[in-house]
Amino acid sequence: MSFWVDKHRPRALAKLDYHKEQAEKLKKLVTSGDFPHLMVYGPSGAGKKTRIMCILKELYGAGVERLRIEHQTFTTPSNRKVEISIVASNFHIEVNPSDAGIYDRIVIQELIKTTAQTQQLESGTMKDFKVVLLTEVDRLTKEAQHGLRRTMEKYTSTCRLILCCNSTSKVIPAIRSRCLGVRVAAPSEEQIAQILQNVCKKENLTLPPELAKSIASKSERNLRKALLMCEACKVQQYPFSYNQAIPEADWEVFLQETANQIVSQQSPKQLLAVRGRIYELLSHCILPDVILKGLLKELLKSCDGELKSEMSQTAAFYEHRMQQGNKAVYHLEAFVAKFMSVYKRYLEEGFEGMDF
Amino acid sequence: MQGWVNPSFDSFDISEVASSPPKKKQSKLSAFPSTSRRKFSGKHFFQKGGSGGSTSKVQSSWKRNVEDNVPWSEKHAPSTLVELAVHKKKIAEVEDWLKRHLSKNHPSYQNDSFILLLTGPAGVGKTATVNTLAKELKLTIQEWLNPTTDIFQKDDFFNNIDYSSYPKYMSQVAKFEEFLLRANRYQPLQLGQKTETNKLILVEDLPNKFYRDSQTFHSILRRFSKTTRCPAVFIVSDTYSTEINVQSLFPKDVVASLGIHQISFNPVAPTSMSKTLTRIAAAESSKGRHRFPMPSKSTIDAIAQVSNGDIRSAINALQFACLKDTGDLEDVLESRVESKSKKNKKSGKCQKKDSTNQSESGKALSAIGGKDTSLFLFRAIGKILYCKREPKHASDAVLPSHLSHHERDRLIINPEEVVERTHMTSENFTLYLHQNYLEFFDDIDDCMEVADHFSVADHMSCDWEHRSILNQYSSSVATRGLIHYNTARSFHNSANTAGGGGWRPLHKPEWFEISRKYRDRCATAKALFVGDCWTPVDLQTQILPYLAVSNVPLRNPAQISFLQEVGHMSLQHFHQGHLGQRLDEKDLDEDEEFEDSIPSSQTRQNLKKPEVVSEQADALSGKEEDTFVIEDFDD
Repeated sequence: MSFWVDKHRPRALAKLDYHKEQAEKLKKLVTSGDFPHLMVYGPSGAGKKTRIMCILKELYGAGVERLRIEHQTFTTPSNRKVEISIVASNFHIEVNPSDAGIYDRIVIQELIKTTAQTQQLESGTMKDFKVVLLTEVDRLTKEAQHGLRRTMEKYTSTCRLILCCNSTSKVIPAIRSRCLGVRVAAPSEEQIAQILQNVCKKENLTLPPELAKSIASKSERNLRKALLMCEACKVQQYPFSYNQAIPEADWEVFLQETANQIVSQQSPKQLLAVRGRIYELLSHCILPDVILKGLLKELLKSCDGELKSEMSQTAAFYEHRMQQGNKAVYHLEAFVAKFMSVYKRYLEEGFEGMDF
Repeated sequence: MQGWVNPSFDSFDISEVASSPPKKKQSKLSAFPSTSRRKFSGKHFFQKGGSGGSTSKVQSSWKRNVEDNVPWSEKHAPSTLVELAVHKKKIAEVEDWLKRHLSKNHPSYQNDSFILLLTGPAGVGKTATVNTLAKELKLTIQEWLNPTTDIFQKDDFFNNIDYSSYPKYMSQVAKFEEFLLRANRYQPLQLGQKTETNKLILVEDLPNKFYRDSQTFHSILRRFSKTTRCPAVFIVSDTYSTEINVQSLFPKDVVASLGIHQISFNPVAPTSMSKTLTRIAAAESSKGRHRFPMPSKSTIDAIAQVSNGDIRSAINALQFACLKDTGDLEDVLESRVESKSKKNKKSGKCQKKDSTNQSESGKALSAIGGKDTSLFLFRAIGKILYCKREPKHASDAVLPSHLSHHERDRLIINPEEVVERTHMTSENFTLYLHQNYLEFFDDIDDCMEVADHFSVADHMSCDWEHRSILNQYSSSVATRGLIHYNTARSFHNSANTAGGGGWRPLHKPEWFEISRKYRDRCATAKALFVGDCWTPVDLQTQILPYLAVSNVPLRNPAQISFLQEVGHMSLQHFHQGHLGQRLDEKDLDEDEEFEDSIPSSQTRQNLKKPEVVSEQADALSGKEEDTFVIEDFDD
């Protein structure tokens, strides 16, 4: 299986398509043979992971691309076994600690400890430190982040951390100050369009510039999404026509329909139907916060200015509760009910205004 | 003290004791010679046939002593059908069944077996009905009682002892099977007079193993129904526990396939209960050694109501109450009955069970020693959702005008008590309410408030440290929020006029299934695509949907089938009718939710791990992929 996303991923800092200046700086940083802990952050699909792999390759050579999967089991103090899969090469390990849920602190501490305690044997040819790549750091619990801070200090000599996250706002300042922050901004639409053209050229396809542009604008500056869309377009119809429909993910269409239903009718019966659709989305592995955000985005299209701010505030309120609560459906439904109620009142006021 | 607990005797024991003078003397001192205490169940007789009259023949001071110590529920056990407090129709139904299956030329239907299943709450007279009917129809009851199991002996233990002299070890289950299958083959030993009696197998006690492993039980039942032509009566009380219940022992498919006839008993009606209690009290107050004034009618009525249809506990309560003078109960009871009759007059309808004012009834309960009652889930949810209210009292405070939209009549029920009586975790109960509340609402503004209360309730229980404390509060918030904003039912008589007066089906929450699916599928996705290092969000919202629409060749069949399951959403064919399973009247809460963010390692192990791990080197190293080593370290 190889997506275009994987197939045409740049594998050296010099070959990156955008943020070239930053790439230069990263290269300089790495050529010295050592680097501080890094925190790479930026929106989804901006190329964080690509850059990290480039850095690692620059550092260790092609060996970092020979990956294997390990399954490690950690035992919590309460004697619970937590199994985690780790992707590792000889030089680095990559782990998503939030897989362990509330036990992420144990995973982080144990993992780094075991990795960092073993010295590299052939220190002549290799660097004398290993790299631990942690993804989704912003989804870590606070305990895990504090555990991470202590571990970071302790094992600086034998291990470097690269943290990868979407936003630094959920990372505690203590960790932020210990890392060199590298922001990877999302590519502009022009850059995406250009990359799409390059990829299509490599695939021996001709992509009309209009289509490239519309894909780029539809991708919301998410390069991964853009490439996936482009590939789906190709499956749908080739040769491309400049105005062909761009396939969207099923769940997005489904979410839009759900939003339309909410706007079209506000009644308990409709709320029940919407709940059914939320369940359907959840059972297709769509995360609750993605559902809430997606709904809000669609719903805001039919709101005016004042209502927009009110509904955004409500959504934020319920998302906060959802993050802390147990059962997402309560909060999703509460948001939808609130929107229905407010929107109905808004419509009624609108009609009254028309009468006078 | 012990005499109170297990005072029942076989006729055999009594006659033996009565005929031996030295023991008789001893018995006067201790009231209960330990030799005569053969049976500990205290509920029913092992063999109870035509020889029941022998008890009354033994006239001695000893017997009188015994009788004073027998609980009245035993002493005044019904001996004729007239005395039974069970509804006539139920008795007739059981009698009809017995007669039908006893007649020699009973036409054997295709789907009719010799098994009768009696269900109902405890103490409504199931056993009494069977016993009385057996007496009427001159049947010999053979009852199964769990034997005390022999001490388990390993074969290789004490090898030098000759085992042939000991009876072979048998498990309870094996014994039960033997009992059931053999009971009909051999007549009981007929000593003395020879009478042709029919037999009835009665099973009330089941070996404990069957509660965990009902399959074995079902296979025994199947064999029994094939081979036997002797009626067997199984009596199972309704319980609220999830482990021991009728549904697991007698699931609907087994009942249907074996043609088991099921008769479900209802709680004893208050009027017939009062009648029975009065009869007993009258008999005791005049005849018993311990004389006491006849309790007033209001006392008896109160006991009858408090016992919730459990006649055994009602009689026991009566006996306790009569140990002392019942005069001191009068004050409490009078006030209670008064308020009740006042209410009844106003509403014009007899709502005895539910209309008890909580504080007063609580006092009376403790005074009489009433029974702790629990509710079936179905009724509990109904109580919250239909939220019946009392008519307005003149003394009720009136809210100021700016708060008038919060004006509500007083509730009949106490929500906290309802939740407590369901014996469920409050979280699960809230889920049930959440699943069902929308159908009871007409106004979206009310829905908004209720949904918000549910959200608050969930948020309250998020912190595991305080969860055990806050659970009660959170269910309180949820139920009271739901009731308060049910504006269509905010007044006593509004339920009748407003929409939604009718009956609506209730459903089981879908959340369990959905969240299980969600977790399992997320874990599966991660396990299947582990080599590609995508974060879950990207994988589930971007990669998978597009993977489903593009023609990237997949190597792993598990991945393909998973994609077909998850990647596509049926946009057109999504049907709204799906509302989860219907909740039946006596269903219990079976789903236990595991609130746990750890993906189950089982699902992961079931999956074949993807063979090829990394594709990242593809472009660089061409066809080098065969050299990649996949190592799974399971440590």
